[in-house]
Amino acid sequence: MTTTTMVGANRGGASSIHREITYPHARAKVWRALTEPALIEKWLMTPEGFAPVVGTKFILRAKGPQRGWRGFVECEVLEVTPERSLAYSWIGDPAQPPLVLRLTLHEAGAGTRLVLDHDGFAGISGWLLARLIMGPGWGKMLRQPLADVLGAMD
Amino acid sequence: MMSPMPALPATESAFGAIASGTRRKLLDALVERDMNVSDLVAIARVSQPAVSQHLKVLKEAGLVGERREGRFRVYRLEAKPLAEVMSWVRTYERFWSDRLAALGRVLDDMKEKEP
Repeated sequence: MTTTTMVGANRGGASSIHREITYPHARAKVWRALTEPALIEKWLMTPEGFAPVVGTKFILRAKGPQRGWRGFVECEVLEVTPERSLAYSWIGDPAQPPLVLRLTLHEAGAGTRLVLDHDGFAGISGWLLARLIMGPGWGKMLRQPLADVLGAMD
Repeated sequence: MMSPMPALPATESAFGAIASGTRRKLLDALVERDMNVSDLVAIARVSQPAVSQHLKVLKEAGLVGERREGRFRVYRLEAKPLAEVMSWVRTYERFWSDRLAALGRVLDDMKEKEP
């Protein structure tokens, strides 16, 4: 049985998605799940051409039909420190600048804390996100329009 | 199952409007309340023609709207592009919550490897 904790949906001010989760498993084991294709497929997407070697280009392909999305992500390994950190670029939409996914592992008692940062929301997106997350005024202003947008999506 | 990951809203292209620090200042001011040009000139500390030019760019980008009130034009922030970015981010956040939970299940099922 896994016990997990999620903290910090967003780091204040960072133009990124930030998640931390602690697994009751050793770092070496978590690293295998992040880097062995047969295991990556079980929790993320199906990797094609992945190897934990800097410069490796690969694809993450979603299973089944995808709505509103082309169904695969183009990636390139940017950083590998065995059992410590893995980073790769992330292009889900060729019209957008690449995002960067960074996964780092930290000892947490007998378990492992996985820190996930999805960065690179460049330019206006990054700026807007920082404002959305930081500023009380922006949050207040957005509440109703956001509800409208979400309501219109169904 | 897999969450969809829609592209960032098309508004992104229009968002080059934000390259200017003065325009960011104007937007930040309009978050607080709707304002006319004189209010904005006082805040941005640039000339009125400059403010008008920046407002034009922001209007074309869909970030600012205007209405007439007597002799004045009053400017307001248009929230929809921001709300779209926000909902896109939330989609990604849901995606990662789901994936990390799935990773936990994979780890629980994995056999420990002998060294």
